[in-house]
Amino acid sequence: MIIDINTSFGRWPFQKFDVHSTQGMAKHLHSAGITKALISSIDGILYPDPSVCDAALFKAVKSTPMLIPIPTINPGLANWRKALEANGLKAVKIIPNYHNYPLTAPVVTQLIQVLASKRIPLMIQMRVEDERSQYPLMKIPGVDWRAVVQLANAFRRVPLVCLCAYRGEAIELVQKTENVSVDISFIETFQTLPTILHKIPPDKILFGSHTPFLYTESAVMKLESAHLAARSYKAIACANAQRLFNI
Amino acid sequence: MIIDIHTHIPAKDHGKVWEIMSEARRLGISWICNLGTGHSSTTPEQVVSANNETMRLVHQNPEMFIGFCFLNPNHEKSFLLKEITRCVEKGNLKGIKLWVATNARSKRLYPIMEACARLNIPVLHHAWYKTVGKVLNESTPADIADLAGRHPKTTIIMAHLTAAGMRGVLDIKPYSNIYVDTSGSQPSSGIIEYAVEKLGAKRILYGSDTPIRDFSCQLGRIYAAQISRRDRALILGVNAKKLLGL
Repeated sequence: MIIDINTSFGRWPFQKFDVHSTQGMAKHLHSAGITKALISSIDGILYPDPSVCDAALFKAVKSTPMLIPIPTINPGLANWRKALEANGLKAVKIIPNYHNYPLTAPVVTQLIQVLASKRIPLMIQMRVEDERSQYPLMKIPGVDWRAVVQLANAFRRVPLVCLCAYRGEAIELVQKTENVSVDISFIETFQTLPTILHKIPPDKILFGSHTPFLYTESAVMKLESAHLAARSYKAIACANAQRLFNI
Repeated sequence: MIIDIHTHIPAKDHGKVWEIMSEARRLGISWICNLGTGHSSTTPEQVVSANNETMRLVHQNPEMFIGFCFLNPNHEKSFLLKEITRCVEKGNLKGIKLWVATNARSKRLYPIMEACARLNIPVLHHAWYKTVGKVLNESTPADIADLAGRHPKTTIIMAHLTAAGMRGVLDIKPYSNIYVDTSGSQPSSGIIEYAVEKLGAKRILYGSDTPIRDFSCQLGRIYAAQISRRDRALILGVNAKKLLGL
């Protein structure tokens, strides 16, 4: 069983995706061996009010139970509390550098305080693309891992899950905090998982493919070809996600 | 058959070499091409040392490793030609690797390109369209296209398809003496399909950039691409086998 905690659906100006419906996405993920996936809106990265895109996403996934929608919250907007009124939220996602606010902003503190009271994990999109290959007129740096460490240590009760962190960032994020986990989508080196497990315990690593931006099978092969101990495999493939997101 | 055209094996680290060979076998990789290591200010002595390591690696593991001769075009022409003779004509290496010591438009590459044409061996040249972090003299695919136009009899393997992007694919399209390898960067979806459509699968070679990257992740993008079985086979190894005369 594999739970993919990093999938998205929608359109992106710099890539053309083959999957045009949530049913198609479910079918694609299923064919790659993925049982369940957390999914968020791609359109909400650039659209001025991500809640508009989330409304469409939440409606679209009603017929695909394997896809669990995650709202994208921009705490810089006046309506951000509205998204947290929904029942059964498994997590919320923020994209600080695309939505143009620092993690030190007072609104982030307010958001994380609400999440603490509701026991909802916070997913932080560290980046969407490799910065080196971004469109030259749209340079969006990655989120500074030091700011995430500061936030995590100030709010130890809230689980933070960092998506698309590079290997070096992932090691710092996990080693310097108690409540940060990372996905595997952007972590890569020779024998990725056996190598990273020397630095990060298995209960802090989650399977994430960053589909459809990246080929799903690349993440699947990182996991399946790693020949991990059964306990580590299960933790990364699904158990950590089940525990963190209560799914 | 799978041939990985782009790796940087730490040849002195025998334990790591053994690990890489084991992992490659496990994933069905038949041949690994080691490009050696060096930097933009590599001295002649460092070049000789790096190439000795690659030749030793190939000599000790001829069933798995192929090697390319690493050169710094800033060195004297006489040294460059002597090193090509030593490593390729008299040695066991099968191509030349150039990185960022000079831009691909530099005339300092001429003797290397002419020697490669004469010996009918490929030059694998780094290239990247970098939005941030560009290194001094680092070549873009447009620079590689310029090089190919000036040396039509020399076969060039341009590194890093994802880093080249669609713009880079279009840059090299008119030059049939350029192949592109799939190594490096994140496994961004769609670029393999785009390259197959524009260049044809016969001009694409699987590469991983191991050990910076992971064989499994880099193979995943080839297996995942929506291309024909025939095209996948060409990319994974058939093209490289023919190109390197294996």
